[in-house]
Amino acid sequence: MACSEDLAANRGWRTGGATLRVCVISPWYPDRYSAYSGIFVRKQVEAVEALGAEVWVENPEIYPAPPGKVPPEVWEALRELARRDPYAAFDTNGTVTKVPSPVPSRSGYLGRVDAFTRAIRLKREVLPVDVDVTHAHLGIPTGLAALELGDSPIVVTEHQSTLERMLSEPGAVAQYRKVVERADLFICVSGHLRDRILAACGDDLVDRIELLPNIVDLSDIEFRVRSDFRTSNWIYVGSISQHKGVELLVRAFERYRKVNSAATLTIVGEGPHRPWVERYASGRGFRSAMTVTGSLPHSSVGQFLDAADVMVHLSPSETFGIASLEAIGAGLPVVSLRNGGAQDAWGDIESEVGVLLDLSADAGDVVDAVSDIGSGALKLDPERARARVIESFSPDEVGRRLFEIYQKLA
Amino acid sequence: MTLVLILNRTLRLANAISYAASDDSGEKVILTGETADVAGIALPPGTELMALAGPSAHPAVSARIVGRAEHWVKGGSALGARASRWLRSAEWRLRYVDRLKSLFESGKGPDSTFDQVDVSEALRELESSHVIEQIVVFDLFDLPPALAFAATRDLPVKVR
Repeated sequence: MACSEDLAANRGWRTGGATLRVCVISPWYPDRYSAYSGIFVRKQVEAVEALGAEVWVENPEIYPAPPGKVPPEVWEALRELARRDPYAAFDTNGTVTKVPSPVPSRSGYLGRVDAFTRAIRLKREVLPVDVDVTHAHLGIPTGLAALELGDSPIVVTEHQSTLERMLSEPGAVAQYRKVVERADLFICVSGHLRDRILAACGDDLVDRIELLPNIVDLSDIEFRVRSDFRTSNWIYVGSISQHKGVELLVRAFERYRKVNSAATLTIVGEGPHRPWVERYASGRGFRSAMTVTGSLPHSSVGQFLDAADVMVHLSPSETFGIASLEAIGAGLPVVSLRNGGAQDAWGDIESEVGVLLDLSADAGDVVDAVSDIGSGALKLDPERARARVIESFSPDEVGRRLFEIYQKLA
Repeated sequence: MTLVLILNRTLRLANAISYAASDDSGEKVILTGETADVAGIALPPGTELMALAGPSAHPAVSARIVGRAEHWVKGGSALGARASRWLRSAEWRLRYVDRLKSLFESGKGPDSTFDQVDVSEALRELESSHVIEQIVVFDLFDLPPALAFAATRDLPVKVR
């Protein structure tokens, strides 16, 4: 009956009374070492759990190894420990299990596929999963690993920003096509990302790829209207990595300090480029105006957004751009590059949330954009922008759509 | 009672330090082959550092030297960034050559995990001055010797 089917759907049951069981495989997932890694994956897990699904997460983690073959005794030792005490080998917190995977240097993304496949297989020997559907995050390495493991049905979500680098490896395009063709459903988090995949792998895959955005959860982020057009306090939230444009960020901030000596920059995040950023600021005499928080729980990001005047996010390539959307949710104007994810996610509210700069923008262009916001000349509408973020990317909305996908395939 | 954290290569050093900081059970010792990487880093209270002798501690491939060179060449430019990546790549190659050289000199094949010797010896040395309670491995290449050492002493071993 329709009524009981609706109830089943609402409770996370497949029709017939069984609970929907899902295995999520993701190389990114928040843990004790990194509060940010894969937070969007965890948001999806929480959203479908809220609808009643049972979800187990397998989180393969790269353990860097020297070049060449991983010696058999390393694998044997891991197997021996796993048999003796599964949780000693596979760190498990609730339903999330880390899967240590030795990946030789220079083995590339396909080397990660081999390591993930072997390590997850070993994990399942001692900690098996019995699920209705597997959801792998990233086509390669994780989606391909799920195929190698024989999982079925498989949903694959792609959201890696380093896609072109991965696909430039010998043989990667053919393997990636295999994932898109064989996955029961292949999802991209933005149209921009889908276009990049089609450009690299062939337009004939267009009908195989669906769109489902990431979740933007504003429950810990308070909205505050900024009516004074202040732009003194800049904020950036994300990885401190070169590919995130942090060098341009600090150079632009240095330039802005010349017109506003009271300006501050708060960098919420951690990353390999942090030493460079701190050295640069020290060498140029503005280290005291810059705060680097390091990795923080996502729940504390809201307080930093609340204290800021403007988000400056200059990553040249984003698959989606959660950080900018969270800033919009906090009522902050945003200066970003046309990095793919930003213009896709901002959509028709682009002119109401801030400024999108061309990829060729330099530090002067960034300062000009911030100054435009500060002048009050732009017709920003932060209330409408926040409402749009909630409408399109809330956990309820995205979780419901994902849950329906699982149900259909299970 | 001492918790021993092992990582021959320091690529997961941040994880080991974070783990040590979150554990308040008592004394901790980090065994690593690249003490230069740890020098200058604030270790959590009650945590000491002990060096493993081995190929990765070779001065020619010291991560600290590479880090300093990287700092010097980088300077924020795109050219510097490329030079930095080249340096990292060169570091891996040097380590690999160094490893192979040592393996052949010691009469072992290239598949041998000769790092085991260093870890086992370091654990035995540590045992003479500390009561080891548990071993936590952060580099999977250190797991075989750690398990072998723990097996005869009934010590728990974890991978983290």
